[in-house]
Amino acid sequence: MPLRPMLGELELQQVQRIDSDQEQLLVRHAVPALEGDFLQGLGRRATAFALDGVLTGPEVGEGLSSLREKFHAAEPVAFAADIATATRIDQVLIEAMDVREIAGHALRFEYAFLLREFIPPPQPRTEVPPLPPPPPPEAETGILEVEVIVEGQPEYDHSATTVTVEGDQADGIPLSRTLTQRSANIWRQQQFPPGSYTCRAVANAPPAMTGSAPGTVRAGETTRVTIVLRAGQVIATMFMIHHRFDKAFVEPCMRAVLRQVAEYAASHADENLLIVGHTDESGSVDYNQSLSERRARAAYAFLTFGRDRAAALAEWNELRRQRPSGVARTLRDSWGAREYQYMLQDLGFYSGNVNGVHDGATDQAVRSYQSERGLTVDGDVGDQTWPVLIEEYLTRANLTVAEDRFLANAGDACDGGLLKWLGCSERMPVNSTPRGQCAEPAWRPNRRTEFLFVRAEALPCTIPQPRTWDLPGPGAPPPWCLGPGSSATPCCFITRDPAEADKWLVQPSEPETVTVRGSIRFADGTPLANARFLLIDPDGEYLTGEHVCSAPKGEGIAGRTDATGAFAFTDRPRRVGVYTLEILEPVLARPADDPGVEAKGNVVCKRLDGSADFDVLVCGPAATDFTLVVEGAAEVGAAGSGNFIAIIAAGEEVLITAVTPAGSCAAPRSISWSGGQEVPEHGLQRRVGKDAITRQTVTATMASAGVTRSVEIFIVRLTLDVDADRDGTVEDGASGKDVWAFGVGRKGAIILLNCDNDDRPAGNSQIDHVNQVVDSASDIPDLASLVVRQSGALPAGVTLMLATPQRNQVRIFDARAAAGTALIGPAPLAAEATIAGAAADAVLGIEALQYPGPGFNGEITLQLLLRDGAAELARDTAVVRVAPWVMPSHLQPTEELYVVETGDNAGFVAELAAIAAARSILLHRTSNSDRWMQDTMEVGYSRMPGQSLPVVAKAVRRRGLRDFARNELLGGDYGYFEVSTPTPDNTFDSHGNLEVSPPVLVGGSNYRLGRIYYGDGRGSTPFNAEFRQFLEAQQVQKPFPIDTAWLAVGHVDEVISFLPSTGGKGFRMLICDTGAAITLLRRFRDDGHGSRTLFSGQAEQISVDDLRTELGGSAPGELGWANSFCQGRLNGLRATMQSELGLAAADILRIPALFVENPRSPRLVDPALDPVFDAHIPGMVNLLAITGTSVAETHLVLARPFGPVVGGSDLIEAEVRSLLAPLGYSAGQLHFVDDYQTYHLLQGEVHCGTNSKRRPHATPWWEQTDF
Amino acid sequence: MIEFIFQAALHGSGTTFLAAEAELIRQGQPASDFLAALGKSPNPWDQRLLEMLQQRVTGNADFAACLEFFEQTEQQTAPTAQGEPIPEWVAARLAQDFGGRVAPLLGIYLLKLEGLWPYWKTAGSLLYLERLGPREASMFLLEFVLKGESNQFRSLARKALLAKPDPGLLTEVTRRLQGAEETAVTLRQLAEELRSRQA
Repeated sequence: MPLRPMLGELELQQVQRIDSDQEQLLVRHAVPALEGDFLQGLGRRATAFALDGVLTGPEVGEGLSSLREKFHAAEPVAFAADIATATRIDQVLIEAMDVREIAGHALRFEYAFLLREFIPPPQPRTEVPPLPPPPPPEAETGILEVEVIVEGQPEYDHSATTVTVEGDQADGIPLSRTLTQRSANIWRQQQFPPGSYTCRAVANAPPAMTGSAPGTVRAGETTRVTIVLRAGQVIATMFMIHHRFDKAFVEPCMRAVLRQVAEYAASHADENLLIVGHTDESGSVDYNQSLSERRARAAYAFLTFGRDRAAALAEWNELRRQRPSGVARTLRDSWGAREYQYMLQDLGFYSGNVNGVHDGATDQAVRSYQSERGLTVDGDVGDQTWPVLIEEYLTRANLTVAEDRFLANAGDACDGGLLKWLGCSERMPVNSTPRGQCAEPAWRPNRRTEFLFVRAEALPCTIPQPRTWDLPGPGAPPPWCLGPGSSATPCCFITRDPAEADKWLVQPSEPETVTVRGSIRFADGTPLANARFLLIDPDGEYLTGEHVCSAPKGEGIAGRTDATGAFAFTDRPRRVGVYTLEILEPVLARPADDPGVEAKGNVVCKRLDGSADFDVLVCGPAATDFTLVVEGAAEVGAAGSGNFIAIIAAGEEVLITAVTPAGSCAAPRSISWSGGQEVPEHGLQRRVGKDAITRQTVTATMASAGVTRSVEIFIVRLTLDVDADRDGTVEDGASGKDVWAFGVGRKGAIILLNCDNDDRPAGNSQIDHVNQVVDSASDIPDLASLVVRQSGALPAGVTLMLATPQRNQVRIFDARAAAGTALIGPAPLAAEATIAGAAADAVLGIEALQYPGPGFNGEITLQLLLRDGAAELARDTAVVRVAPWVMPSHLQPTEELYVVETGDNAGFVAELAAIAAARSILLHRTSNSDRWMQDTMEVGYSRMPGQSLPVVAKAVRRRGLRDFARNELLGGDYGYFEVSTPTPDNTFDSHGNLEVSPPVLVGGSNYRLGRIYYGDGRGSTPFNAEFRQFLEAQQVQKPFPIDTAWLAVGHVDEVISFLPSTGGKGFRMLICDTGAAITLLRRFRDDGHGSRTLFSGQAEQISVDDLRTELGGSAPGELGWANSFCQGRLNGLRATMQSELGLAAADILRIPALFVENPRSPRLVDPALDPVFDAHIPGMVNLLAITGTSVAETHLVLARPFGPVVGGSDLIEAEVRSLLAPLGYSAGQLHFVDDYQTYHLLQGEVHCGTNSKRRPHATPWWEQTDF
Repeated sequence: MIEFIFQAALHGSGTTFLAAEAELIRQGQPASDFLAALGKSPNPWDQRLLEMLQQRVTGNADFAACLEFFEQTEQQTAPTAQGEPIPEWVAARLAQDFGGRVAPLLGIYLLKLEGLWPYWKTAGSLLYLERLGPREASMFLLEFVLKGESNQFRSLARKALLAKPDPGLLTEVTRRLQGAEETAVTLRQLAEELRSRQA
């Protein structure tokens, strides 16, 4: 039996036509170079079919209404029919729905449906792409992953965490490595040699944390080790120097490390220093105890020479003496030819190889030194020469570590002064020490002195008195207070194992690593091929190898450069630090990339940090000429003028280098300097600090060639200062002024649009920023300060300019004074101007010429430029921002009121005047036929630290009040502006359609100044585009549109308002509600007031019962229909406001309101057009809030609703009073005024007819960070 | 003299146009004779303007009623907060009361008076033209799309132009585009020559 078609609940009667449409989905693939195509089926489209016919019956209307809802919502509808059975269609979408009532036939409709099979879309698939597989480990090695965890802190910042791995490789070779490849808390190292290791992690940032875990790496596998960090262990940050076999002498290359130690000590007042010497395992422990102490003592003397010269010299003079045969406990270190070769070479007297042989060159050097120092010239370095040589050697560094940087040697009422140094003998060999070759391996990394910086006041264990404590004696050595300790454990206080938590954990000060590469070449690129050399890394290891067990024990094994002069040690990364290259060939060499270092001999020191390789330049002939190259300053005048200028920046310096011709080298002492300061380890350089304003001549003389060259350095101080920290004062040289940022505590100065008219009383009608003068003394506070500070003379020909790329948005005056002259601005002014050199700081005035807007984000870049002719030498930049225009909300106290006297509204004005007078608020009245004061303007403000201006924005509106704001409000400290637009105004451009909410928190966004809202108009009549763009460009009150197109006037103030309130968020949103009015009318009826009249005395007078009857009419055009329609729109508005402002239902108060269709509603002419409505009951939401400093001092002026009066009381007024009472409003604060004839019947109410100026927000706009 | 006034109406806009039109109307028969003697203009726009002026001078009742409707509406809405009628209502009323008969008037006024007219008159007239068939409206709308001052109104005109299918529109647009391209080529050549002379 055929089914009758059912669409939803509606039976489709009298089907007259069925068309169906089924399509295969084919895709065509052309066959290249062949005729014909492949067609690929991709399934079928949803089946479509059309049904036409006629419907009859009383139930049809309801069924069609239901279908229409589904049609509008594009929801699937159940469908049953033969055609559905055949095609298995049970749900359809209504693609088109055409229903017509047939004239002359009641309840008879023609219908035409276009239905489309509903095929549910597939569920979206969320496919997580598989992680790329990790690269397979190489067969010979494995991968080591170390995960470091801080319990309870998954987001711990591991940037200061160091992970090291130590242990034995599978072949027994020790390995010690710092891991560097980190991602979050996981360190990953590929190509890791198989072996058994201990992985250690140290987080050095206070509080220090440590942890360790074992791990075994296997070839071809990935090993994961997890370390849990725990706090508690004292970290000892370690610097180290290394020594020659059986020597305590501090070699010249180590001086750079000791300088680092001194600097670290000076800059880390919370850490104490302990110097600890070590030896390798060659020799007896007893002997090595003394040797380790000698090393520590030599270093201590070196580091304290600057403050205790005599003691240091005495120590070194004892160290240099020959050790008596068979004596182990001695301070004497038996220095000889090698040590004085080192010193003589460092001082520039010896350029031969340091080999410990007193040969002819050495003898000549000694004699030369003795001669120059006035000593007996005998070629013998003995008791006469040693002290002088030592003193000069130590003087070159002249280091000082203050006494208070050391631990105390004190306890039990004993004060031994400082704990200057300790020795560990051979008890702490490093992990890399070769094993298995001999019992007492020599190993330079063990021949070291460590400098341990700890946050501790005392040693964690008792230690024995050092063996050499009372040497050299006799005399009165300081007492030993610590101890007693065991002589077997002189080193009980330090460890490299985090598991030993009671000891100080040694951590290298620079754990970073580099790959060591280098070359030795001549200046023309010719390699020093196959040359023998030794290279020692910062840990003391000879990278070329060491004679570990056999003679010459402890000596390095020479390596050789390749054919290109290059060398490389890429087997593993090495530590960042000072490397020592000793070229075992008769050459003079220096670092290739450091021209400030003289070529002293065959030893070259260089710090490798990954920025450059260890490239060495072999010198040719001695230089006979040089030029001076200046860094950190710009040359002024013609090239070669010798005049340089440097702009002050604390801590920076100007470097002057004597550069010799390519290939030649300057020998030490060949160039003498005057002026400037010495640069450590750089005899060919001088420096001039930028910490002081100075004009200094630096001269270099090469006496041997008779060449003298000079440069003159002008160090000047130039800054362009603004109030970057927004405290109302311009700081001197503040940082962070070149980037503008919103937020509390952020940087960026502010300037005002100078849009008031301070000299209006003097007859000037121009807005202040229009003319090019400072408009009287009253105008000065409107100008922000800009200070140009200059100290120090400028060289001739150098000029100072002020410039901005935004000249059309700003004007700068040469003084922030009434007599200031405009320097920079729009034509005829220029974009830059010369600032006359002045001894005093120049305070300039700056004003903005426009608000932020499309194409101008409000930021102005100001540049102070130092130029030598056309060439720019330096610049200082400050960025300022034009203060935006901000709208105060109804929560801000009212300062002034505005109303129009139209001739017919005297009663209204008088009532308002009385209310204002009682609050001591000025009511500004003006006469005009245009009564809509709210619509003509919006009074906002603009603010910078120290100055705030009320600023009235003229609406894009050309009606009677168009000149009111400019003519009557603009004046001293009352700004004015208007937005230019090519489009004439429409009703949505009135400022009754522009309001702002109180401050709101929306999700995570804090709108401290509230959000602007406006009705966005209709398709043909939108809110003015230029004004909307202007509002958006202000940024700080993020605007949003709402739908007011259904209102004839279309203004937001007709239906929404905000009031201060007690409790809740401190405010409530009032919104019109027709349901509330209908309920109220029902209550009136129920209370027996059905015959009472509304709108008494007006033409529209009507009883409660009659009005209720009208509200029952639901046909289009009837009052019930109108209010149902409006409530639908109001519900939408309420939802939008809640969503955009983060409001809860409790934040909203519904005020009774009724609407009526406007007599010029488009729907009345063409039913297809949308209707528009006006307030039927005078709109009470459309109110004036005269806000005080509290809710109790706030008064509301509302339209009198003309409700039914019972016992002299207006029942609607009473209802509104009761609604507002919980918000803190007593009856005396609510003023219902009669606006019926003068405003209500003309489509407006109290708010439309008034306006106000309000106090700016307490929160500065620049603290806004959510936009 | 009449020719001078006519030229002012032809080329002027805003108050100049209104004054010239008013003067032609005031002159009455002489002006009518003058306009009739001008014959058919090869420029369609000029021809439409000429015809409109002829009807204004001879007293087209629909035109007068339309302008009266505008004036009354303006007076009635001016004191209200809204201050103006809704353009859709205006358009619907014009279509309802006049059909397409006032299109020749409003089509010309749109361009001539855009700078003077309040928002509702311009928007209302454009929406009115949108309601009419292409034959009555397309030429005016196209002219406004090309010469209107306000982007917003030009956009309304464009939307109106595209609202109903007009088979001849593409031909006309193509013809105008060709003319514009020829003009561009000429200007480019001239600019090149000027640059080379300056160099």
